[in-house]
Amino acid sequence: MDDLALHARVQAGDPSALEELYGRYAPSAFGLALRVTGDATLAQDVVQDAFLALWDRPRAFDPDRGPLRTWLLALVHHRAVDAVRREARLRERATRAANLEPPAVEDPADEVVEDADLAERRRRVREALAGLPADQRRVIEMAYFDGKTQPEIASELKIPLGTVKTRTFAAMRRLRAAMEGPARAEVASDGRAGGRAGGWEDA
Amino acid sequence: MSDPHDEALLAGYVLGALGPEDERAAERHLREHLPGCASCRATLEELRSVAGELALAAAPRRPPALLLPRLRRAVERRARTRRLRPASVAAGVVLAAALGGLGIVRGGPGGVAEAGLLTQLSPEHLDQALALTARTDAQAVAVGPATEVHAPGLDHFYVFGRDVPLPPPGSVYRLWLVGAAGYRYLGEFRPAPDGTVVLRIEAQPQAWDGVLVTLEPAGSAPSEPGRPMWSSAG
Repeated sequence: MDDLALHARVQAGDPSALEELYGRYAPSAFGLALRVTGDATLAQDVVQDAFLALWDRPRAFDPDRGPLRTWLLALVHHRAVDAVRREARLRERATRAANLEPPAVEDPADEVVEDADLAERRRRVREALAGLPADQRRVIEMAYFDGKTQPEIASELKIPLGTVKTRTFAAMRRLRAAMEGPARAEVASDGRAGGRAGGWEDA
Repeated sequence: MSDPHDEALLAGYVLGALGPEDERAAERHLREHLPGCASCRATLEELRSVAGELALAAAPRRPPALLLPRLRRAVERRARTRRLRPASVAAGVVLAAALGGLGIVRGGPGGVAEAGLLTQLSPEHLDQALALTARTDAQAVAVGPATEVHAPGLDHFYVFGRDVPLPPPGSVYRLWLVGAAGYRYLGEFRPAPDGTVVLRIEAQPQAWDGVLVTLEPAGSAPSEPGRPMWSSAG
């Protein structure tokens, strides 16, 4: 059953549909929340909140604006960043630097079997990130995975705020170009290919 | 600074990484520039989809086994109140009958609108609601022909629409907050002649299940919701 059908069942109040979506996306959600918060307890709260938000307000998801997975993970990311910033106000997080990179060795018991499409998308975005110049990759990782604001990044890296902004934009543009090529067929299968307007012309 | 097509600003915006000053600049940019600039709107969508894919760069991890039972319990706790609400209130009397039959308190704290909770803005303020829609963390929910939009951390939200039919003569639309404990009356509204409605509601949407629009005889006492028209309470 595809995500949209499950979403329709969630909307109709069927808890088994929510559980099926949980089975599908909880590992992605938990992995993301864990990477951003660096804290398993916070990450669990974030994941539970996100799935409850889907249960409580299923119509907040608009299928015209992209796949359910993207919406759900954006919700997870947003809540994880919020949680990190709340925590940051309470204590210093110097140790979190270790969480910038995914753990090199994962417990085999944690290994997650995913469908081929998801695994392929994952491979592509990781390759795109790995292909960025190091200084661009750093600002993206600090912003997205560490929940830092651009002024915080500037002061931590001791570079001007303007540089952080231009690096971020350059990185996003490169990521998009890198993910674009082989992604086309799949984008089309999302039914969203037709809407791609070339909004990224060079100045 | 004064770049009319500030793409770098949008990139920081979709990542949720702007400092407070830039965050305000971005919101102004979305409100004042984006509605008239197709190129920036396209850029924003592209940036958003890149940001969306970044989520997959984090290694998937199996959540602790206890998390699913925890989620299940939370869903069950909500299920009782949820069953009180039919999926579609367009069916009219069904809702009122169901709630009446179960003895749900209606009208919240009195059936009288609390002053200032609902403000009907003129159509040219539609951009305020649209600007909120453009936030990455915004959530939009259909309320019949209109849309409810809210975002975390705000103490207000909007209901807006462009093609809301005018109420029949002698009738008015009334807006209510819907919660597990009943309703709170917000006030009346009337679409502009072209069907535009922009309503600003001073309440935290997280504390409520949604809003309900009813159609009621003009001048009647708003003691409890009349004929349900549209609702965002799923």
